[in-house]
Amino acid sequence: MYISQLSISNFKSFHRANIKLRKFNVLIGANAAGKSNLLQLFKFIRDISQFGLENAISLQGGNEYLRNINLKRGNNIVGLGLKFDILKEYGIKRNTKIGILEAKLKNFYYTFKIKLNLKNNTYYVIKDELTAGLHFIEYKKDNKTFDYGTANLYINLLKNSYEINFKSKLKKIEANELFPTLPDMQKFLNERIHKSLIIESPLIYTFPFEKIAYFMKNISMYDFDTRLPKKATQFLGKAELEENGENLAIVLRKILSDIEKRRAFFNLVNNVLPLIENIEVKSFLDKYLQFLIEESFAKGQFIPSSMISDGTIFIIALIIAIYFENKPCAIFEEPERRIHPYLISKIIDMMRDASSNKQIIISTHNPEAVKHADIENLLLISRNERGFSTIDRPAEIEQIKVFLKNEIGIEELYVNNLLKL
Amino acid sequence: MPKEKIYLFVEGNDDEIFFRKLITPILSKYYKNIEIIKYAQMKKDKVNLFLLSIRTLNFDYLFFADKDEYLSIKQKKEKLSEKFEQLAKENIIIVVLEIESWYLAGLDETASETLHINYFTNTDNLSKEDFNRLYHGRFNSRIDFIYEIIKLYVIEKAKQKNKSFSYFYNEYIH
Repeated sequence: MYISQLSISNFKSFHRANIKLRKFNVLIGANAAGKSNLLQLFKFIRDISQFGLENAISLQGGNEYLRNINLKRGNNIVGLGLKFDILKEYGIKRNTKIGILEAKLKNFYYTFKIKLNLKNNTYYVIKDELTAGLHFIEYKKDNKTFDYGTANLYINLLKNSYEINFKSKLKKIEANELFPTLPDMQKFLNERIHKSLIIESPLIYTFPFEKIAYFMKNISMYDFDTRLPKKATQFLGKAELEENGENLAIVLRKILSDIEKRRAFFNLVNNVLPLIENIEVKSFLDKYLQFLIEESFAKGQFIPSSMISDGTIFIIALIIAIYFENKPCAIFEEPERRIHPYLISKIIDMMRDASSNKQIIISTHNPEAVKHADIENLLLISRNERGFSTIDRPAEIEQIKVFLKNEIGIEELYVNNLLKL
Repeated sequence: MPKEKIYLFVEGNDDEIFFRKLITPILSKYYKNIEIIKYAQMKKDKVNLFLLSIRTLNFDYLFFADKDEYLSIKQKKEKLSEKFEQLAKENIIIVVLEIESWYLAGLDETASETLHINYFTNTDNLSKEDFNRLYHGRFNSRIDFIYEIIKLYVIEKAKQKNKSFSYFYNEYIH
């Protein structure tokens, strides 16, 4: 599953923006164009899912910094719209009064709007709507099937309550029969009406919404601090890679102890760091873990993580984040900062490769990264004449196609600030 | 006595892995240094300047290119030498169809079974898309798949299964 469309209103430097996303997305643009704000939007979504709307707003600096500060004070409505596309077919079968029904997920739409009160730092949810597109098939007793086509299940905030609406040809069937957790979910939402969002409900983790809930909660925004993995790590730590990379030794130990993962890991490391012959994780004082690297030029000699270059540590952490972490969406801000120009094309290739299994979003200023990213994956963030951030796809700008046809590279247009033609 | 240096011009990263991992070890018998230049993302003028410098320095070079949509190898060679005026036709090797065809050519039946993929007796017509359809399932990564192919690669088999690889090997290595 991945976010295939995004609409933004009044979030940070954005006023109105609507953009299609791909599985691999490279955000480019001048300094202060709004790239980081767009990445913050994904963090905001994740924070709502993990900590609730109130905390998520606070983590963005409160009402004042959540909304676009260029807007007049009367315009205090922040809104987001997300469309999710399903990559791998997924569904459930239920016994209903008409027989066995299979519901297969096709897509999700999620939209919400919050009215912010800047005086007392409170908010009021004015729109909250989640739609699941489902494809229904009935399995009859004589082994025949009947295709009911696609139907939408809506959860929608009305003036004073949440409504559940199921529009389908399955006239005899109520949504509650197919999705038994909906009444409790509705009750939960009605108790917190206008203060919380649908995605905060614990019952969102049941069919058909669990995938969207899992996606939002597990968006990862990596920002590796390479000084941290150099130090020894305590045994007691999370098995998944921390966003700052501090528990790299723990994660490496887990990967290296699994034959299949170990095999794949060394293939991928070899692609960018061919001198690395082996990596080991050692424990000491019964309390700490540290990883060591053996190079092909010095077989038998292991270099401790404290002596390994920042770039090497960064690349190892990056490979783990994109290939081995079970996260649906991985975000990196300027991941090429510590990478040699020659390796940038390989890292971009690896991200494109890994994006067949998860959505990857990066921001970059690097012309090499721009050159190798494929124009279709580029999203140009810039400010318009009113100071609002806008998002464009250079691949869809006709004038850019003419420059490209005449052998002027996308990276040259980018360096010369000519992508926004 | 090995010669000083040869430059291999290849299109992109997948080609670079193929030549670095499989061809460089063989060529190292004949050359002290083997350099690989990826030219697909380079400007025409820059490629020409690289070629000019290499020719001036009197080093050997080979220029690999996919056949792409061209009807014949001859046609593709002509197109390339028109585009890069410093490129000598005799140094061009056309990969048919694409580097993915050369990767799959080196797999024997046992290797294909190990990788859980179909066995191909001839890879002259296999495309990148055919290759991409093969690895899903057992492998989460195309790059991982490529490195597993390399571990099982048999040059002699590749010569039997892909005409363009056989031509390259027989003409330029042996």
